[in-house]
Amino acid sequence: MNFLKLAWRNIWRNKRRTLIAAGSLYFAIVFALFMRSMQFGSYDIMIENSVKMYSGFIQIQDSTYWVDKSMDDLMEFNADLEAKINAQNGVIAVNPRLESFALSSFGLKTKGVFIQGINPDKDDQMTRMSKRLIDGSYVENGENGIVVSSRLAEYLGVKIGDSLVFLSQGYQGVTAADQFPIRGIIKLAIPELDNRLVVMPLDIAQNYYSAPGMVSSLSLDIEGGQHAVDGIAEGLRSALQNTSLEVLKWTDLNAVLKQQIDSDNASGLLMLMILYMVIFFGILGTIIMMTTERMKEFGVMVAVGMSRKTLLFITLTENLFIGLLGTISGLVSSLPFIFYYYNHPIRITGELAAATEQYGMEPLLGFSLEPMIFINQFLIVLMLMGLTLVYPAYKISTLKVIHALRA
Amino acid sequence: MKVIEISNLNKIYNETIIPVHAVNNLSLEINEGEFTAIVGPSGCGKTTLLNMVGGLDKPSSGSIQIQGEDITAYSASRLTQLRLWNIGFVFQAYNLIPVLTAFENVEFIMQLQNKSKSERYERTMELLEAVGLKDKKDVRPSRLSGGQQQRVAVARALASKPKFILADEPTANLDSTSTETLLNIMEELNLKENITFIFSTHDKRVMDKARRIIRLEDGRIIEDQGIIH
Ligand SMILES: Nc1ncnc2c1ncn2[C@@H]1O[C@H](COP(=O)(O)OP(=O)(O)O)[C@@H](O)[C@H]1O
Ligand SMILES: [Mg+2]
Repeated sequence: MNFLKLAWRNIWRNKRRTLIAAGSLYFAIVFALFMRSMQFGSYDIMIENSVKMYSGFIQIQDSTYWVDKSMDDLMEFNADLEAKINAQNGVIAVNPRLESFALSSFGLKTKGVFIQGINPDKDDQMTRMSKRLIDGSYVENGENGIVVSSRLAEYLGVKIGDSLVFLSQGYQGVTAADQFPIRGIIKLAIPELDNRLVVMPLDIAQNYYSAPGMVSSLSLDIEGGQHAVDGIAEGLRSALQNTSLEVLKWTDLNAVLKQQIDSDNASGLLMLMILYMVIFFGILGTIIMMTTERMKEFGVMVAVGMSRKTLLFITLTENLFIGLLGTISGLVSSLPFIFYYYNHPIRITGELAAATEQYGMEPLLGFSLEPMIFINQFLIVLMLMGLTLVYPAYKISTLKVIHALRA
Repeated sequence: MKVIEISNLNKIYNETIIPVHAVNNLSLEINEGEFTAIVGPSGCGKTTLLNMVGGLDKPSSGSIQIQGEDITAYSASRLTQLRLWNIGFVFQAYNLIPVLTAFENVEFIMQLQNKSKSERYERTMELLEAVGLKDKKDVRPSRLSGGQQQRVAVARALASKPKFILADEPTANLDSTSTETLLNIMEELNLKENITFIFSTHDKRVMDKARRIIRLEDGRIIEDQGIIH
C-alpha cells in the first residue's frame, strides 16, 4: 500500500463522477487537437500555395520599388550581389524575377494579366510551378514561348500555339507591346493567381519591358521554411545594410494572408479558451465535492499523524490521475486519425469548395502534426488541473482537526 | 513511570455568547501501564480533555507534559509528529479509511513512519492477530461490523508503538457483545504488553473494567479512584 495507490482508489470512490470529469477533459482534448491541427494544417497549405509557390519566404527588392511598385524603381542584379546573398547561411538559391502588369488580348477578348519573368530551371527548383502544367510544356531559357494560367486561358479562349498580345509600359516610360506564343497552360490552386498569371523567361520579360539586366525582386529559396525566415532575414539585412535594398519576409509580402491566418488563429484560441473555461469549472466542481465530502477523513488522517503536506500530495496525485486519464486517452484516440488525415488531406467538394475558392484558398482540409499543438493542449490541461488544486490546498492548510472529526 | 502530567489545565470555549468552561483547572498524572477510564455525564468535558492531551486542541491555560515535555507550545507540524510517534487514537465512529482494507488501515500508520515493508507486514499481521481479525485482513471497512471496525481501529492505534492510547467513547456505537470483546482485547493488550490506555465512557460495563476511574463534572475532577479487581 502506498500513497499513489490510495490516491488511485480515492478517485474511483465515485466512478461516475470521475468518468464525467475525465470524459470532459477527453472531449476537450480531442476537440482542441482536431481544431488546432486542422487550423495549422490549413495554414501550412495556404503558405505552401501562396508563399512557396509564389512569393517565396524572403524577397529582396529596391526599397522604393517595395513602396510604389513602379517600373522605374527596378533593381540591378549582378553576380556580385548574388554571391553576397548566397553567402548567407540558409540561402539555397537566388531567383531573380521581373514582374509587372499588362493588358492581354486575343481576338476580341482582353484581360489584365500579371507577367512573371523568371529563370525557368532555377525558379522551378523552389516553386515546382512546372508540376502544375496541364497542357503543353513549361517555359525554357532562350525560347520566347509563355505559359498561361488555366482560368486565364479559358477566359481568353486560347490554346497551345496561339499567340497573345501584351500591352504595357516599360522601363522609364517606354511603351511595351509584343506578342508571344503560348507553350503551356498551368493550373494554380489559388484562384486569384489562376485568373491572371503569365510566366515567361526572365530575359524575354526584360526585353519586353526594355529593362535589360534589371529585376523587380529576388525571391530566395531558403532552408527550413517558415520557421527559418526570421534568422535568415536578419543576416541578410546586416549584409545589405549599405544598399538601397530591402529584405522582405513572407509576412510582409503576403500581408493579407498573414492577417487571415492571425485572425483565424485568434478566433480558434478564443473558442478554446471558452471551452477550457467551461471544462475548468466542471472539474473544479468535482474537486470541490471530492474535498468537501472527505473533510472528516482528512481530519482523521491528520489526527493519526499524517502531515498536511502528505495529504496535499495525495490530493494532488488524485487530481493528476484524473487529468492524465482525460488527456492521455484523448491524445491516444485522436492521434491516429490526425496522423491519417495529415497524410490524406480531405478535399472539400461542392458548394463549400466554391466558397473556399472565392476566398482565394485551395479547397483542401489539411492537418498538422506540429508537436507544439499536442504539447500545448497537454500543458493547458495540466495547468487547469493545477489551478483546481487551490481549493483542496486551501481546505487542507486551514483544516481544524477537531472540527473535522466532529462532522 | 509518568507518561502524562497535566497541571492547572483550563479550556474555555468562547465560540458562543456565554463562555463555556469545559475543563476547569484540572491537574492529573497518568503512569505507564494504566488502564484508566474518564467518566462523567455528557458535556462534562471528557472529549475536550482527551483532545488536548492528544495534541488536537490547544488549552486556554495550564500545561500538558508528555514524557516530561510541555506540548502546549508545540507547532502544528510538531504536534502531528508527536501524534504519529507517541499517541494512538481510537475514535467513537471508528474512522477507518474506507478505501483501505483492514490490513492497509493498520499498515498505513507505519507507512507514515517510513517503516520497511517487511516490518510493516510483520507488525500488521501481529496486531490483526491480537484483535482476532487476521482472516479479515483483505476486507474493507464497509464489509466489517462495527465491532470489527473498532478492533481494526485499536490495531491501527497500536501500529506506531505509541506511548499511550486515547480512546474517546470507543464503545458508544457498539452492542454489548462487541463492547465486551473490544474491552477484553484492550485489557489483554494492557496486561500482556503494558500498553497504557486512557478511555472515556459513560457506560457502566466499561467503567467496571477500568483499574482507575477519574470522574469529571463541569470540567473538574470530582473523584479519582484506583480499583483492584
Ligand atoms: N467547540 C465547542 N464550542 C463551544 N462549546 C463546546 C465546544 N466543544 C465542547 N463544548 C462544550 O464544552 C463542554 C464539554 O464538552 P465535551 O468535552 O464534548 O464533553 P463530553 O465529551 O464529556 O460530552 C460542553 O458543555 C460542550 O457543550
Ligand atoms: Mg464526548
